[in-house]
Amino acid sequence: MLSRSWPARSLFRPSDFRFFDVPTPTVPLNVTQDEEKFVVRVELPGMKPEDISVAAEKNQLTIAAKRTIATDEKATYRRRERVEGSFERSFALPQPFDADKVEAKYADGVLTVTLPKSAEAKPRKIAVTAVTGVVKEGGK
Amino acid sequence: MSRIFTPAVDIFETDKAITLLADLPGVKAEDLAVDVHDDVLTLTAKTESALRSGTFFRQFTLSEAIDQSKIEAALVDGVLKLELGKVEKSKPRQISVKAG
Repeated sequence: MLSRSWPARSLFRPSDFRFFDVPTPTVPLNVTQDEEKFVVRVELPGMKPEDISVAAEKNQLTIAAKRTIATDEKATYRRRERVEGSFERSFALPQPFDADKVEAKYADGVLTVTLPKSAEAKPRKIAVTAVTGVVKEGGK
Repeated sequence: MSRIFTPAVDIFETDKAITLLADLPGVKAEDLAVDVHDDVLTLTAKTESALRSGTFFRQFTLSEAIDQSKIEAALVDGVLKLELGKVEKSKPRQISVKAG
């Protein structure tokens, strides 16, 4: 996927969404990690999986989504706060991950991307061996 | 720490019903409460996730009487759709004016 990067602060491209009487929308995004993996979560309520794209390359992750809200032409609108438009965010994770094993799931309006860390990024446990007996230094 | 979040909503109405759409990402149906009491509509949804921890909360005063038996709520992909049927009014009578 073409990876265009937008300034980190503007999660929505200004030209792509309509402003209503609410402050500039932000898409909350959260990155957590443990020894095995990174987990990226993004709130994208009311979307279809086909409107969300996730691309992983090297240690770069790109998430793009397009939200459209159907308008009921016959109805009278009292409030319109929910925004529609495109969202794209591209960022590097601090350690390399295994791009072939990245999984993306969408449930309850939340996108969860799981990125297993590559072998070299995982911490290595080094066993400590007890040495019995007298360790002679030097010698005759 | 428990926080209060204000969900974004769309509200529109027709002659028969008021429809409310609210963005409630990460909320499951069992954690959502919708209450209509007198003319006040209250939405409360608990959320405990890595993204947010707290409660989505919002109240609205309804401009028209709602038929309590005509309330339908559905939560799909983190969006609540609430349909509130209006109390049916007696139809306006047509009075024909005759030229005298």
